[in-house]
Amino acid sequence: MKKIRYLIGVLLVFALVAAACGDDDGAETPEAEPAAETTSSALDAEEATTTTEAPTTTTIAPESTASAPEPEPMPGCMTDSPGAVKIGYLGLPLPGNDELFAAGVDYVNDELGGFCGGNTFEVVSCQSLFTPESTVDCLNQFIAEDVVVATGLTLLFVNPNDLTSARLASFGAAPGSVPEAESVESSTHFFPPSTAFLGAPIAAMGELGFENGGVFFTDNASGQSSAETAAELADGLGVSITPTFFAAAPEVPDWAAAMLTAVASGPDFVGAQILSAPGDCPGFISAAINTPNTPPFLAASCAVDAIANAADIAGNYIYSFTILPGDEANAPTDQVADEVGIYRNAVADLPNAPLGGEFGSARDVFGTAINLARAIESLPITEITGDTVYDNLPSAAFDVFMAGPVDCTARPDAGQTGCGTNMWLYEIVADGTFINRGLLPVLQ
Amino acid sequence: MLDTYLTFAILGLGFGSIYASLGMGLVITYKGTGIINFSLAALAAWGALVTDELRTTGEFVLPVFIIPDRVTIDSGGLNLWTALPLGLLSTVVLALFSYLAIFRPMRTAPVLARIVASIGLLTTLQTLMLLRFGETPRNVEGILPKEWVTIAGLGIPRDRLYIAAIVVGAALLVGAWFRKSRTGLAIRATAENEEAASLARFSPTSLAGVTWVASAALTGLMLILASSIVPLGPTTYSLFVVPALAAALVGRLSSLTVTTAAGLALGMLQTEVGFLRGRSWWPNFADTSGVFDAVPFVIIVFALFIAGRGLPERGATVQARLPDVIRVTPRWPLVGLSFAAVTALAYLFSNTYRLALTSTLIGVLVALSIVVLTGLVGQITLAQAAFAGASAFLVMKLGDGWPFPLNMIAAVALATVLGTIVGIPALRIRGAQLAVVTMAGAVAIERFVFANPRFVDPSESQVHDPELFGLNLGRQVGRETARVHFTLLVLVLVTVSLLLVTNIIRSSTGRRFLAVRSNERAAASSGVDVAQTKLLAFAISSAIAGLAGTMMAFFLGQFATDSNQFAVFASLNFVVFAYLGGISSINGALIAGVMAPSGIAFVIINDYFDFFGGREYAALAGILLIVTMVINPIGIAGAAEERRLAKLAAKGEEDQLRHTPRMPEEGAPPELEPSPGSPALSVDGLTVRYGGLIAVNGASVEVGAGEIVGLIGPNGAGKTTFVDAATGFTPATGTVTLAGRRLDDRSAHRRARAGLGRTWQSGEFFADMSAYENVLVPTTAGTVRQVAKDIVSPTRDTAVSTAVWAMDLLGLRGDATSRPQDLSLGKRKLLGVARCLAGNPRVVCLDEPAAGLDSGESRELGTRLRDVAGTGIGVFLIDHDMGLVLDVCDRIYVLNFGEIIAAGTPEEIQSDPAVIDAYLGEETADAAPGGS
Repeated sequence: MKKIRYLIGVLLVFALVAAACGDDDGAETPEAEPAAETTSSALDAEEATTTTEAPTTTTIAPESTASAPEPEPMPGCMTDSPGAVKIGYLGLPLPGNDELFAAGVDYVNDELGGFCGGNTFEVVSCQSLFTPESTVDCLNQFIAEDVVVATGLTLLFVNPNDLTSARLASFGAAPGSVPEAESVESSTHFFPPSTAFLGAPIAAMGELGFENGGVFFTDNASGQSSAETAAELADGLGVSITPTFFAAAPEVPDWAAAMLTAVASGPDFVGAQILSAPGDCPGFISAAINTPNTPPFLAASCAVDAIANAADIAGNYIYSFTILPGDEANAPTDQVADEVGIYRNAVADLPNAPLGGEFGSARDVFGTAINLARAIESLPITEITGDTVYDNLPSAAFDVFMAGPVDCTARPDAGQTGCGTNMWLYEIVADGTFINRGLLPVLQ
Repeated sequence: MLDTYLTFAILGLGFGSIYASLGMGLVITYKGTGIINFSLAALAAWGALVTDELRTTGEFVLPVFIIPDRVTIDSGGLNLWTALPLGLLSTVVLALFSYLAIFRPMRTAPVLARIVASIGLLTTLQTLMLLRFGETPRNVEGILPKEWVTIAGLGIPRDRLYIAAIVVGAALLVGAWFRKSRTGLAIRATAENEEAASLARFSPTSLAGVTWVASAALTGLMLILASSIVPLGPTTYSLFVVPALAAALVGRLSSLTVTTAAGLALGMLQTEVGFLRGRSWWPNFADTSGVFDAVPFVIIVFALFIAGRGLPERGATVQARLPDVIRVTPRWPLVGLSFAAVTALAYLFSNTYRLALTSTLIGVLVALSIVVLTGLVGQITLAQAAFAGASAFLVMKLGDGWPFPLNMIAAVALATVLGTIVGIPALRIRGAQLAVVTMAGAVAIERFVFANPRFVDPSESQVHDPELFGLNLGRQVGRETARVHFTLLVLVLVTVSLLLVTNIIRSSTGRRFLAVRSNERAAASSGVDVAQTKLLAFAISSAIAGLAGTMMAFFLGQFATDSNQFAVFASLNFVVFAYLGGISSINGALIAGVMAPSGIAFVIINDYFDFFGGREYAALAGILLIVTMVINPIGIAGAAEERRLAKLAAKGEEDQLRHTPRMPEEGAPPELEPSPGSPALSVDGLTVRYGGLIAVNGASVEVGAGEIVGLIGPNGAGKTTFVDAATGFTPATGTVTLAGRRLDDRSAHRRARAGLGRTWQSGEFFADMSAYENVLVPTTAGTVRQVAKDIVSPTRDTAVSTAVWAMDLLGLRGDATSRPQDLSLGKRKLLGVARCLAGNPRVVCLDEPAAGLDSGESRELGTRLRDVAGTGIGVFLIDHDMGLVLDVCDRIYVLNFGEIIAAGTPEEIQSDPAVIDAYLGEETADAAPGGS
């Protein structure tokens, strides 16, 4: 019996090696279909240097066409006795995040001279251990310190009901999962509602002429919920989508298998609207490159990896929550164009630019304090307290850092807490630059 | 469509190769060391990360904390053929160090201690990698070609085919090495029997080190080659341990080729399932990633449980027992004072410390559940988080339709049912294998149920606060985030649970638990229903874990599906801290709660040492665990108890600590109901087959009430097999009748309960109990009513007259409080008889009670046996001591080659030619009472 097993094993080895060394004439790497006509101009491409992992210093795209402006003091509300406004920050143990957040706070306090007549931010920082218990403890500390707002990417471990019960506003990422956050009133976040970030990219692909997409979602409760929402939205937008699920962190997805699964249903595009784990963008793009017959794809905010593989994926799409550097000419306002320069300067001084310099982090980390200051500035309050912020923050309307104006009052449902936000669709060019395909519809 | 299925199957070779590689590594390690190495993936991943770092930055990362950790070799990065050997060397050095520092000193430690140590090593290594390499998984520059190739119309990535070929080739080569090389032979020999291998001049210790290091190196090499398929990160591969274990168990932890095939098949199956999930006919409730994780669990259960035999245990020389269980009698003033003190702290603490106190109390509950199951009954489980999660899940689901405490009771009931079901595999498997099954089960429950949006809607995951008589007992109301009401609620529940467990430990139920923990065979022969006892332990343990889960749900106010709170690695952490605190004592559970993450100890350390974050605490815990396991495998509480015991022993007062019950002054023999006609025992046509071998062939024996009947025969005649078969410990055909009632269709413990007692040739004592307690074990029935009474009000059944009578009859009163292992051989033999007698037997089967006794002891034994028979109990004596047998027996049977060849009085037997030919020969003439 053992000899037979041994023989089978030897034969198997030879067969596998022979197959692997076989002719690859029939295997094609995917090429993007010809892109639809564009009305935006191409970007200059002077220095498109990139990395595929967290760089120490990175130049994502050509130098900004606008010079870093002189900071102007924020207009807006005035308080009688400006002072330190405490905000709670739930830290994320990824390299550089805490520094980037602190850089944003420093920018508000030092460069802009504060907000609402000279108020400055004082940060109460608490490290999340990625456990619900530690998050409870952090919230406890925030409340004990009388912070007016809780921020930080690890709000996702927070029970939104705890925030509601304590009348503590949150700002930035959604507390808990998005479905949880959207089921709870009154805590405010301006991570876009599901309708926005799920529907808008699909609508954009529809406008480009695609009708049938294979769309990736994380294989967990949030992802499955998002898939259902996205399918409903897509139906209403005249695009049909078939969901494909990939393993969510901390598990590791088999991207080749996932891509093949998506491709097997014969879509005319594949999309990934949320690629939040650090390895997801490179995995998705690599699979798209290597899997035969992959149709054009849309990837969520994978600018760095898109540049790194631009030659292989020209003609495909990414979307971004911010204007990408080099595209300042298409910024909705001069201010947004200037803010790209501000961000680049800030990152240049930091030893560990987080998350490879993805511009989601520009808005969600560096920009948090700036956006919060602007949001508070837009409120009809003369005193900045937990109660005044909690009661009024849902009515904020302000210019989002690097993204343009957002109006948190424009929500379809009273219970929905996410604010709409701008997103741009970009087409990847072989030289590592991008063609701006315009603003995505802000679906609310 | 077929080609699509085939394509997916071949894609599955990628992950399957990783499962196979890890599985191979586990098998190699197990063969050489007897340890299931949970840290293997982390050891291998370290080398892979070092290799990648050398290739990208040219820096060699050292496996150290705090001090400078990198050496720059070439800032431009090294090529693969330079980086790879250095990376592997790094793994080899780390593996060697871990073996020499941790596992070699622990070679005789209990199985659970070694499992816990490997978990500690896993935790430490993961933390080290996170600190040195960061969280972000790396997409490594591929070593194997990644392009797709077309074969028979199928597009397939080359790297999958290459890695599968390499893994299969490696399995064949290593398998051949095990079979053909001297070292491989030595390892296989050591796995069978360490002692014999030592006598053959093999060093088990050295061989264990070789396999430990080699498995890490081999697995590391495979992971490096496969790192283009799976992003390489500090925690990536640890998650593959369950499917790898499934593959290893299919290979029975011994066959590399079967393990490899199973790993590859598992990967292919999982990829196929991933594809099939998109089909319209795929059931909605199974449309979750958890369906992948249920597959390894099913395989593991099938491989271990349904397929029949458990895995071969390694023939280790010596293995230490679990720590002694310390029994305490609650001193109510102390209980009251402690309760008052904690209540005061709850009021006085700041919010942060009150939260920590609450987390500590919940941690105590979880640790207590582990003490019950593992400390008292010796069952290793890694599913406590799943039980807690099931409870939390139900509390969430019941919503506000079920008020507190009904929702809590229902949730605890669910956890109890689940725990009982998970305990069923424990009836057939034990040790590390049981740990693996429970771990796989926990993964399946967590991924298939808790993370399944069909069962848990994230938008409806809130848990309502507990309210009692209109008083909100929740943790947070408004900005009061750490209300004392909730802390006190948890405190009350913890106090009640501690008292109930203390009652169990002190009761007859606790004695049965310890009996099962010490020696399952002996427990069955003492009338203990081993299966029922184990399931009861699982039920109680999971109920306590469920109570903890309910409190966790109330604490958080939600059932957080994506938080990994009830994930299997949470279970590992629970076990780690429970063992660190002391697995066999209530005090250990208290210490574990204090030390657990988010507990009081962490908060205090965090307050005073600014550099401590969660990651550093995890590293500290891992290191502390390893150090504790090496220096002190019985945990902190156990060590403290041992020091106290030593001091008391020096004063001759150790019984005071052990709380061993005192023997009353008088006992009385059992009152046997008259049997409806003799004989008391009738065995007719007993046949035992082992495959093609007939060990006992149609043997028939009768024993009358008050009669002493002997069974003799040459070595290998089948005497012990006969006794095993008659008493239900070996399958057999034929009939066994006791006092007119058929017993052959009953299990061993039921035969003992019916009055057919036995002793064991090897003694088979309960080493965790005193001599008198050993004798008490058969005296209680273990009914539901008895158990319920024990939990609430422990039975003070130490005054069992038959037990006292048995001890006095055999002259053991003076040794009542001694441990069996501390008695002389002769007294141990007598103790076995006493334990048998205490169970009210009609007939006792004594298997070589005189073996190893000197002539005087043998004579004394004969006298005692006559006394026993004088009470009306039938004695069936199997022994080689001819003097004893001929002297005391009324009749003798002679067994040869499994068949009765003669029966009669001692005089008839001595003169039977067949007997003389087969057995007695010259010995008869030399035989004298007490001679051997």
